[in-house]
Formats: sequence, structure tokens, C-alpha cells
Amino acid sequence: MNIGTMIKRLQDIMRQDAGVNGDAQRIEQIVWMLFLKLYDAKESEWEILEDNYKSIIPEEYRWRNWAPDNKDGKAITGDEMATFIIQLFATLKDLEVDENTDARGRLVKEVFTDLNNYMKDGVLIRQVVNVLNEIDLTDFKVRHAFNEIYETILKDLQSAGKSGEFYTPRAVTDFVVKMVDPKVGETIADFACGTGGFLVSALNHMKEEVSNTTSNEKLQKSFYGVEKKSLPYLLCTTNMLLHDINEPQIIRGNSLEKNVRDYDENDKFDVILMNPPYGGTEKKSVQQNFPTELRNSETADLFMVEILYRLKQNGRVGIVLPDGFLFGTDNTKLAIKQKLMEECNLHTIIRLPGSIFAPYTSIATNLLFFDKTSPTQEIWFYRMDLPKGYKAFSKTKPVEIRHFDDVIAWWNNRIEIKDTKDDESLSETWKSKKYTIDEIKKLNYNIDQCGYPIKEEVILSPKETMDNFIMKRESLEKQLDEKLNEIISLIGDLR
Amino acid sequence: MIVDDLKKSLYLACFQGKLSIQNDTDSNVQESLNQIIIDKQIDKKEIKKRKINDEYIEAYKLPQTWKWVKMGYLCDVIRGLTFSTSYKKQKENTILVLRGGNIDSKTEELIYDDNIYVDSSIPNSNQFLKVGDILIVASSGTKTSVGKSSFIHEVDDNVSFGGFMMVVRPYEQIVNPKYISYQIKMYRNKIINDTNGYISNITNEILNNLMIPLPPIEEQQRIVDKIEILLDKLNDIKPIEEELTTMKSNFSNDMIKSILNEAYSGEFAFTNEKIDDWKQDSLIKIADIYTGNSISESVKKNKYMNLEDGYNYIATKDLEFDHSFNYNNGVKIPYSESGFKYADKNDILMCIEGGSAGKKIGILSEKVCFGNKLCKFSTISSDILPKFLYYYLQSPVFLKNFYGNLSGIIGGVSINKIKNIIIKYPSIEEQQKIVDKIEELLPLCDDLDSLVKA
Repeated sequence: MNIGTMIKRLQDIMRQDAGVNGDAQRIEQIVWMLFLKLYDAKESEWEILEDNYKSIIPEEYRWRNWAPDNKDGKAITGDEMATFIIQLFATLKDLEVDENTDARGRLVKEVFTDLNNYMKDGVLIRQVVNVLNEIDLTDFKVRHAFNEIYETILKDLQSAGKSGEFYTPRAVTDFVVKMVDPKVGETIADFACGTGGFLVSALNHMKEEVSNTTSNEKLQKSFYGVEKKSLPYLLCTTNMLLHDINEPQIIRGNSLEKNVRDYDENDKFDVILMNPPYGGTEKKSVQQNFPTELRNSETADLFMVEILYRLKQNGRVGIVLPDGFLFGTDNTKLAIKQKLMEECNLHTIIRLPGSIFAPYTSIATNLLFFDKTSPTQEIWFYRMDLPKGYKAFSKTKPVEIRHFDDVIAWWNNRIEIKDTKDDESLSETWKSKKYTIDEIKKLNYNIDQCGYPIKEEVILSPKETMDNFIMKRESLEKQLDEKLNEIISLIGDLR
Repeated sequence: MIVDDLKKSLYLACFQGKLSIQNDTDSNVQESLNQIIIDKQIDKKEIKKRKINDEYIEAYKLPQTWKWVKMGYLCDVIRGLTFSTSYKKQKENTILVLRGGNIDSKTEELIYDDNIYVDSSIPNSNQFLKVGDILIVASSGTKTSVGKSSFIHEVDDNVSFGGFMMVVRPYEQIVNPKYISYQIKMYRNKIINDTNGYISNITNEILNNLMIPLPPIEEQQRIVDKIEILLDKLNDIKPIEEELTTMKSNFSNDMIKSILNEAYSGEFAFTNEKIDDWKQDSLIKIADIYTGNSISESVKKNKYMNLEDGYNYIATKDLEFDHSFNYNNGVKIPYSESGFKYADKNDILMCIEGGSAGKKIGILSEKVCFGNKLCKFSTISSDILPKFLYYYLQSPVFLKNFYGNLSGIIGGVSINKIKNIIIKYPSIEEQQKIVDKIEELLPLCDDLDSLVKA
């Protein structure tokens, strides 16, 4: 089973359907079906393990009852299929749930609440379903292999041009998790979880520790995520299910919409891992949930404040932030950094090369590690340089966990490293250095230290330059068109 | 930008009633208006006081249920505080006074910077800002600031506003404050055009006579909701448009850089010479390199301005980014003057110090004197074509080295460092082919530039 070709086959089928527009919709189409199929596979397990398990999905809409095609001419297709899917969506959106409903059941309703089915052609829908049924998700091994394919789907989603959020490379999440080292029994949160990258990395890390059913059960309730947009939310919940978290605690919403002063111990976590969206601006109503002196319209800054209010005593944090946070000294950024260093021990900052998120963006990012044990006494900086032979990371040569080996070696044996220069007259720069809190204060909390000495400009070949330009322009124009279409539909209601 | 165009046309459509439903069950505008006139006692005397005149110019046709109403019937217009220089910068039980600078020009939100305070005895009771007010810059030395407004959605109790500011306080029984706020934003340009004098000034009279297309109050809320969703969407579009514009303006330069990089990294290989086969030398071995003379302003004015004869003197400002020279710039050095260095026709001049270091370069078409931030290059080796050197100095291969050696506060590269930079070069034949190719491709990039930006 070559999943790569499977995805291509699915896309080829869907391209013939007039209702599906663009990669993002195609992916949403694949994923809702995948979710139902996966859910069905899990239900088979639950039915075996629990005597009283009853599915919240009405019988006729359960994947097992309408999706399989025994090639006897009885499988629904054509117009009948098209109508059926419309009814399926309507039913699942309207499932009756209350506080007594099993969390697994509630998940179905939550997932379908903002989902859309785009395909209009019943014959094509049948073809897509049949392709998906070539994978046997009840087979644990297959499901495990499928995880990696799922990652590909997630990566491809980013090139469909969703702005602001980008897929954090697995190597980065795995590295952060390795350093933060969450343990079984701890609670792990990501308040802007996207497709669930950090949560899954943490889960994989902790699974190595799981030795018996008790710890496995503890794992079930360990993860907490919040995601604003419907498609990543769907992908995240499916991701958690794929990894056998049966009742994923993923909330659909904007965690910034709660007043930080209303958080109590139950809202706090042992471990917080995040790559918040950068460059976003939050409305006034959202900003008011934060104290005036820390109030800012920048999304990433507000998330940083939220973290400070939701970290348990002795808790640990690993977060990805842009350069702007490090050197920014406008009023609230300064106040936020001060609060961070007064309440927490910001012990390590790793500078990442600009191309680490290539090809989606070339923004300069950094990993900040801190814990709530004591105020900051000193901060260690380390600049991660590109590996030998790499002019830059790219789509074909992405960052891998092995590229972090040097960083990990240094982490456990921290020394200051000065950059060697061919020309001694050039000013000295450091790859790794320790700064005391007093030195930081003198620098007015500018923690943009041990940066990259020369702004390395990557010059591509003429053809690459042109291809890049065309690709980027297409992606931007696609985004522009999508937004314009949203506006048209908003005003189209009336005229 | 499409965002700006869209914003204007969406506002207009909203205020023509095209983006909201007219409901039969909505309240009656005329009745509400009659009621307000009674409640607020807007009698003949008051109308005169507010300077509401008879001019009724209806800009466009309104839906049935709407009515054109002058703002003087819908709001109180309040002028700001006048006070002597007894204001303090310290907050001690006193009143914060907002001024034009307290409204952020980009976001149009209040910013509490550079605050001043006055004693609590100074403001009248109606000069305290309330939620629902619209704070407007009524006059300013900067004409573009006039009419800048901020809708007050949250404010502390003891905040007032200065004499160059005005507050529009809508009557909430008949008008939605946010609705009025958007009206004011849309008419900001119109307001600016209506003022006169060097220091633009919006008077109570102007505001009171502003024609407001007034829907029933329920519909006003629907319109406000609609505008806010649309503005959100437009805000999402803005960064996309800006990125598109930036990348389009960078494209042609990126292409040029890329082509030159290919050329000088030996990727063209017309005669199959690989980069490893290329010879190399330090620049000083293949070219004459030196900087020019600086002339102080006074000496320049007294001795070298507007002379009839002499060599033209080229300073950094006289060399354009498009490689052209402004030879007749008014400064000439007499032919027989001693102490000046020269550059000959066909020599290369390049800026190596200051903000334009590495960015300005050209080939001279006459003999000149030149400034000390410019450096002359002329080939002395028969192994190097002048044009090969010329494009080399513009290529990333050279510039990476160059920028890597920038030093000093002003940012320049010492002449010695430049002399020691190593240049790699192939056979003359290959050099010529490379130069030809470059000269074929570069004009195409210029064409690209105008096409892409169209």
C-alpha cells in the first residue's frame, strides 16, 4: 500500500468534482472521511473491550454500514450517495449531546459542527470512499504507519497557502519535547495546537515510559489543546485518535478569549509547549482579558502572558518565538519579558536558522525554555548553525532531528563558544554565551544575543528564483482570492 | 491597494443601505427624530446656536425607511479644554487631557503616551470622555491629522480632551454611536476638504451640518455588525497585498543578483571552462584602485562652484542607482588645479562608504574628479576585460566579501581590504561571452520589473 500514490489518486478523483475548490478543500474532504473511518475502527475495539458500548452515530450512518463496497451492486453511489452524504452531515451536526454524553460521542458532534462536504458527484464520492477503504485501519501496524502519511497530509496543507500558521517541523517539536522531557502523570498543554504537532511529539516521548495499563490510562487524560480554526482542529483530533488518545481534550476556540485573572489551579499545567501564530492582531475585546501593563495587540505576546498565568509551580515550558519578541522593547514587550524573568527561570534560548521553516516562511525564530522554579539568574544562548553542506534548509532538504545532535551535546555540557574569524579585526561574536540577569537588565531586556553574524543571503539560480517567485505569487494570489471570495459571500447575501 | 479601494466602496454601500435588510418592524425614523427634537429641546434658538443651516444636499437616494438628517440633531458636539501652561506631566489626583498625539494614526485607537494633566476644576461636566463618544482632532499643524478620530469603547472616569480636539456625543435613543463613528471616518477626507486656512480647522458648525444617511436604529446595528466583519476580513487582506507588492518590487533585483551570481560562480561555462580552472588574483594586481578627494562645503562654495571650465566633480549623490552620472552638477575642478585625483573615461566608479556602499556603481564617459567615498577601478592587466570587472563588482560573489568587511559607524570598507579581495577569472574569450550574456539578460530584467509591477 503506497499511501503517496493513494493521496494522488484521491486528488485526481476529486479534481473532477466541480464542488471542490483548491487543495485546502480537497484535504478537508479526505480528512472527514478518514475521521469517520478511523472512528469506526476504534469503535470496533471499544465494542470488544466494553460490554455496554453504544455508538452515538445512528446505525445507517456508521462507516461500516455504508462505506464498504462488496462489488455486488448494492453499495450506494450516484445521486443516492450525494443525498445520503447531505443527510449524514445534517444528522451528525445535530446529534443530541448533554453533560452525560460520553466524551467520545461528543467528539463526533464537535468535529462535524463546522465541517463541510464539498463533493457534489455521488459517483466520484463512491470512488473516493473505495480508495480510502483500501487501508485497513483496524490493523494497529497499518495505523501506526499511517501516522507518517498523515504528517505528509499536514505538511501539504501548509503549501495550500494558509497564512500566519505554519507547520512546525517534526524535528523541532521532537527536539523541544526531548529537552523539556514531559513525564507520565504530568499534564501537557498547547494553547494554539494547530494540527497537534507538539502534543503528538510529547505523546511519543512519553510512550517510551509507559510500561503498564495504569500509566497508559494516565496518558489518556494528559493532553490538552486549543485550536481556533476548524480544519486544523479536525486534523488535530484525528491525529490524537490515530495515536490512541480516545477522548482527546482538544477545544475548538481562542484561548485568549478568557480573562487571565479567571484562571485557577485547575487551568494550570505542568508542561506547556507552543508555537503561537506570529504577526496576528487581537481585537480589543480579547486584549481586555489581559492586565493593562501587559496588554498588546500581538497574538504571540498575549499567548506568552497566558502561559505565565497557566503554568503550575515547577512547571516547564518550551516555546517557539520570532526575533521580534527577543529584541522588541516597546512598552508591553518589555513588561512581559520582565514578568517572565521575575516569575520564571528563563534558562535557555536557542537561535534557529532562518530557513528552518522553509519553504513556508523564512522568518527568524527561536526556542525559549523556562520553568517556574525561581526568578531568572542567568540565560544561556546557543546559536544553531546550518549543518555542513547546507546553504539553507528547503523543501527537499528539510531539518532533521540529527541536525540537533550538536545542540543536545552542548545542552548537557554548556560552555561558551566564540566564533572564529579569518580577520581578527572584525568585532567578536559568540555562538554560545551566558548572560547574567544584571547584564540582561543593562541591555534593557534585549535578548537578541548570539545571533547570526552576517545576514546570509541565499542566492538561488535564476530558474529557482523565477520558480520561487511564481510559486509564492500564486500562493499569495490564491490566499487573496479566498479572502475576496469570503467578502463576496458576506455581501452577496443581500445583493 | 485593493484594500483601500474596497474599504471605501464597502463603506459607501453600507451607508446606501445596500448591505443590510430594511425591516418593516423597525422603528420609524421620522418619529424618532421628532421625539429627539422634543427631548433635547432643539428649538429654533438651539438650531441657531448650533449653526444648523438650511442647505440640504442629498448625496444619493436613500431606501424608503431612511432619512437624511444633519448631525446637529443627532449628537452633542463638544469642544475641548482651554487651559494655561499650568498643566503637569505628573498624575496627582488630576484630569488626564487627551490630544491629537493620543490617537494612534494607524490603528485609530487611544495610546497613553506623553500624557499631560490639569486640575480637576478646569473641565466642565460635559468635557469628561464617556464610552460611546467619538474623539476627533479638530485642528492641527499637520493637515493630514485633522479629522482623525477614535471611537471610545473604554475609558477611565477622569479623562478629558484638549482645545484642539472635539467630541461628538451621539444621542443613543436615535443613533448608534458606532454608526456615527464610521460615518465620521468615511467623511474624514470630505471634512478636510471643507476646512480653510493654513491650520485646518473643523468647527462645530461643520460637524453639526454634516448630512447623515439615517436608517432605523435597529438597522444601524445590523450595518455596524456588517462593517466590523468586513473590516476584519480586509485586515486579513492587507498583509497579503503588502507581501505581494514587496515581492514584486524585489523580483527584478533578485533576478539580476541571481544571474550575476551564476555568471561569476562559473555556471555559464560557455567555453567549458569550469570555475576550478579559472585563474585568480587580488584586485590590486589587476586594477588601479584609489578613492578621490573630499571638499569641505565652504571651500566648494568659494572655489569650485559654477566655473566655466574644468573637470566635473562627481560626489556620491551624483552617481545614480541606475548607473548614470550627473556630470553637470555645478562643481568643477579647474584643469590645472593641483592636489586632485582623476578618473578617466571608461573607468569604473563605485561607492564604498556610507549608506550607498556597494550599491552605486557606473562607468564614466568622461574624465572627472571625484569624492572620497567613491573608489575608482581601472584595469591594468590585459587578462581582464573592463566590463568583466564592472559586472563582477555588482555580483553577489564580490558583494558578499565586501559587506562582510563593513566596519565603522558610517559603514564602509577600507581601501586595503578591497585591494586584497581575490577575483577569479576565466579566459578572455569566456569573459567576453559572459559579459555578452549578462548584457543580453539585464535589460530583460528591467522589462520584467515594469511588467510585474503593472
